[in-house]
Amino acid sequence: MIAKYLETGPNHLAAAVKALPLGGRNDDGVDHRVVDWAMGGLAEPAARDVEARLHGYLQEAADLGRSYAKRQCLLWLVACVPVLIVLAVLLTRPA
Amino acid sequence: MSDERWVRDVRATVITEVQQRLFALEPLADGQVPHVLVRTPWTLPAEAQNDVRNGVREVRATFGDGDGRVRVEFDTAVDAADPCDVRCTLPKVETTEPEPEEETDGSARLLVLGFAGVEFHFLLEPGADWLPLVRPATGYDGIGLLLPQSIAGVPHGHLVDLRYRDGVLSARRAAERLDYAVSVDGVDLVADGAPVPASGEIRYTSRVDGETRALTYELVEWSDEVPGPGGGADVLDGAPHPAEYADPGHPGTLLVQPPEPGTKAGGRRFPLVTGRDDVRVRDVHVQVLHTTATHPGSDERLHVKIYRCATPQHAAYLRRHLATQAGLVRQANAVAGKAGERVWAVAPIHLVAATPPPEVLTTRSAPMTVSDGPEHRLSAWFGVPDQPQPGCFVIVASPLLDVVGWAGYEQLGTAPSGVQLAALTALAAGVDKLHDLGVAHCDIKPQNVCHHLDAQGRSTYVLVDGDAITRAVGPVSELRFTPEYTSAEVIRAAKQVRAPGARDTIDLTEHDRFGFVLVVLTALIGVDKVDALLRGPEGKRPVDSVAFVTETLEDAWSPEWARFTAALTAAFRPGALLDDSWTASGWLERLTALWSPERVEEPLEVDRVAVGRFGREVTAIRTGVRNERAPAWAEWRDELVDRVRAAQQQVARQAYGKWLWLGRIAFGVSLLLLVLTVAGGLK
Repeated sequence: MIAKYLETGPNHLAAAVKALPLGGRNDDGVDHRVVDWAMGGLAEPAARDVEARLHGYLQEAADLGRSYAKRQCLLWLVACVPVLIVLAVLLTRPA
Repeated sequence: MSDERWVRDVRATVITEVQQRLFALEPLADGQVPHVLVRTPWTLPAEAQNDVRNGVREVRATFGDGDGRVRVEFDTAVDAADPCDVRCTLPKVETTEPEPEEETDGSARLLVLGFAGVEFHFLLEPGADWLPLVRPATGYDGIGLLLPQSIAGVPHGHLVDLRYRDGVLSARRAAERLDYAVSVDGVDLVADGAPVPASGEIRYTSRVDGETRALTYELVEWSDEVPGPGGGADVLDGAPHPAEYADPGHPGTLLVQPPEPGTKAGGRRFPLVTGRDDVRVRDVHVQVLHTTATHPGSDERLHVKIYRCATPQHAAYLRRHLATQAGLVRQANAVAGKAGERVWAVAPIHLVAATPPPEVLTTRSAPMTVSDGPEHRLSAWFGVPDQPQPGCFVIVASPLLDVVGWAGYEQLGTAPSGVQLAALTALAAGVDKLHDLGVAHCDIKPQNVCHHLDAQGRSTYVLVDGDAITRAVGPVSELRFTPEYTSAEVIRAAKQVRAPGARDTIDLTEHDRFGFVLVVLTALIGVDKVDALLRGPEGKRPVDSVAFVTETLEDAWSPEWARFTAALTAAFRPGALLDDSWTASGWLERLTALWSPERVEEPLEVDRVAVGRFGREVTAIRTGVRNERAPAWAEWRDELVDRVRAAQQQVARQAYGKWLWLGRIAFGVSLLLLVLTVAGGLK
């Protein structure tokens, strides 16, 4: 549980993104339609389908980045707590 | 009289005459081959000739047990009757004069016929019978020394007979094609035959326009007697040997890697046609060892085959045979790409020059170091170190290429890929060219297709195993093929080879085309689907039924591909690949045109930007890919996977960075307040 928050550094993120499947096992989502699209051989409707698929893969990665960032952010906020406690103690201490 | 009516009359006349003549000849045994010569005042169209030939065969089938053969030839003569003259003869059974064994020279000779730089090899065994030297017309199924139909320079038909007896080669003029005069070294051939020199030129001169075509011939020593262990040196120990043919880019320099420890030589046979009726083919058996080699100063690795032949004569034949194949491959590759391009259809073959001898590269020695220890001798590699026999080895090198790892159906998805079709263009052109040259690759299958990067760095598909190349038309018994990838036609012919009345010769063009169609199918639908189509007893595989193939494709691809599927499966219809007008390039072009319904409409704009939040990144994935290289499908895919992964990392880092600052700022502010408070307190 704690590791879920602790292991959210940039390197952890890069590894997690790398482990994302591209449409199934063995990156099956990058199939010959994607190849045809890259070659410029697809017309608008088919190209839109392929682009939507790729967009989905990027969206997944972005969501993962956001999720890791939120957890990392939470860690920083947690780190704020002792600082704020010390601050509160200092401010409430009788002069 | 209209042409159609004339053709009908010719057919009727021929069939009637043959029927009457064969009836008069009864009883007619299956083993007897009647000879029908049809002479017409003008040329009968090829289609009509086939029609007449088939009609005559049907008539022949009504005599004997129905399995008998008949030979039908056509000739044009101005004095022929209208609609035609028909001569039907039954050649007498050659009563070979009983010759005392001791009077005949028992050793055979290798007959080498050459035309336009291409050699044809036959084993001429001593005998009293005359062997026809024929460039057959379509449908010819007789015996003889057969030249490919594609050698348009040599008049078709039976013009010359050859005989080799008592060490003397004789030639005689056969009865056909009297519109040509035939001479050997300037001496006109006569019907009775006469001795001719052991090498020379057979010259065909047209009596109509005086045009002359020449066929060179040469009798070469032949021996099946294995020489004794003898002495001498193997080719790799530095001894001088006559120069042969070499890779022009790297003449005479090659570092041959010893074979992997434990590598054993395999067996291989090279069929030699005899032209005789009894034993039509003699096999030359050789041992073959595979290894690799490099040229000094080059990283390019070569695949090396070392052949060990039984006799120096066998090795000499093999060198000639492989040199011919190398020449044919060069010609096929010349048409595979545009002028000046280094595009291959078949991986080139180079006979390794023996002068200077190739050097041995061992793990213990640096390159360029010649190691002449006995363990580096070829004979030792073949496990016979005490039999050097340097004249018995032939070394052939070709580029070491990676076999295509064909994608499975799951990777390819529910539509065929156009990229695959483009990558197969050069291969298709090369296959067609081989067929134009009268030869067939003979072993076209997905496993024999490799990746090859051309001079522009584009990856295409290329055929390997070019030493399987053989004459397109030859005896059925000469066939060498991989059963799973063999056309139903060839399987049928191979099964019937010993049946009475079965065809003796077969055209392997159709077999090659079938292999090519399977390669295309594998590229489009996946190797697993094609394997499933090929599984089954010979002649009853799913692929032998066009309905099965169609069903498989329709199940695999969405309905929008119906027209494409129809064009693809047309190649599996019975007899489709036998059509002379069928070409691999033409079929591939038709498929490419039908490849994608969308492609016919507006193709994707080059500078089109994808929509959506990550539209810019999605567009960047394909930007620059198209113009850099045009690799084969698998490489394309690998590259695109890398690009998608890189884009994912980029957008993940961006999203990460956007949120991270919140926590860090909160912590920073807290820390700042603390510092300020402490500092204030200290004051």
